[in-house]
Amino acid sequence: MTSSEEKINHVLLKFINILFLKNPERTVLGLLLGVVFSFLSKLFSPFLKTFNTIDINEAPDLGWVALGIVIINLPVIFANMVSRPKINEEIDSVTKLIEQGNFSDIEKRKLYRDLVCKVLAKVTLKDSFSKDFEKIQKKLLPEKSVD
Amino acid sequence: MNTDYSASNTSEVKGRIEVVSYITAGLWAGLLVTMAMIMFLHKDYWHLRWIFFPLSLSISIINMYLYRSPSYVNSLYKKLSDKGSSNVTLSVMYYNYLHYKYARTAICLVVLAIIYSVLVMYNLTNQSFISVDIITFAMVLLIIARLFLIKKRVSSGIFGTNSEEAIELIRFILANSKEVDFSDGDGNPKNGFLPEELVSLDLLPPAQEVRA
Repeated sequence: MTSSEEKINHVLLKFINILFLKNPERTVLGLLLGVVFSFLSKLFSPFLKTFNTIDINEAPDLGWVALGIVIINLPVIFANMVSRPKINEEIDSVTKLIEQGNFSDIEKRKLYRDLVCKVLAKVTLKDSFSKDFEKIQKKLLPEKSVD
Repeated sequence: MNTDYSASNTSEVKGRIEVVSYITAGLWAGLLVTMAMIMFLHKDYWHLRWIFFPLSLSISIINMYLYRSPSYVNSLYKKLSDKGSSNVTLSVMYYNYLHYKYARTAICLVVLAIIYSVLVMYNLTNQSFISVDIITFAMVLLIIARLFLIKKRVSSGIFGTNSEEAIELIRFILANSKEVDFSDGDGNPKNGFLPEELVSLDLLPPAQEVRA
């Protein structure tokens, strides 16, 4: 990929993410919720007609779908407003340092690669360590493991 | 739940899958285009749109699911070589995981569209709610587009060198660390990424250095 292709790729991905499709499961649920809303509004139309100030029966179906998608995605919107730790404080502070530091693009990329690889190494080390620990425990304490 | 998201990245397997998927996609696309032409040219067949939308959706999904799914890639890989899945990098695993997840949601969308079109065909709803079919169609197209863009980034080694994408990858690692084995056969961690094209090779960390 050339640099111009990469830029176009990045912009298109951002465009799709903004349309809430970074997490499509939520958006599909929102669509279902909108359909349920419109169904309920038709079901309770005799009751809803008693309100004089609001005319819910005249609401367009697309509006119900949009409402459902927004309601399902409310946690995402609030999470963007309030700055909560995204994973844990250590990794967040590392990403902040990388973003605010005076690095070139290539250096930033290398740092992010290193960060991901180090997390991967930690997880695999933990796994292999716990497996070895269990093996040794079984060897040393055969009677207890049977109980 | 199937937690084996690994697939090969050998050029041989890739080539075979691409050829098969392109041939089938081309055949289905030709069929759908002719159907659409008949529908739009002859007004008598316009009522068939309630079948056309879900059918085109389901065909695109089935094509995506069968010929690009992790299990299919794995089975092909096992036929071609006995190496197992040691060549797989973390980014390729993440792509396969996303593929699996998105295919499931897309199938749910198609089921919704089919149910709705059946309701409309038998006059079970009061008013024509064509927006449901259009929205599902647009969403499936966008899901496929996102998968395609991410695939390009993964294959060129850029995916994960961004703050958002790095966080996505780390979340994936931490969430699946108990179920998925992230180590290669020898107990070392897998390689994180495919080699990057843009950066010159001298600037990249070698695999052993990263592991240490």
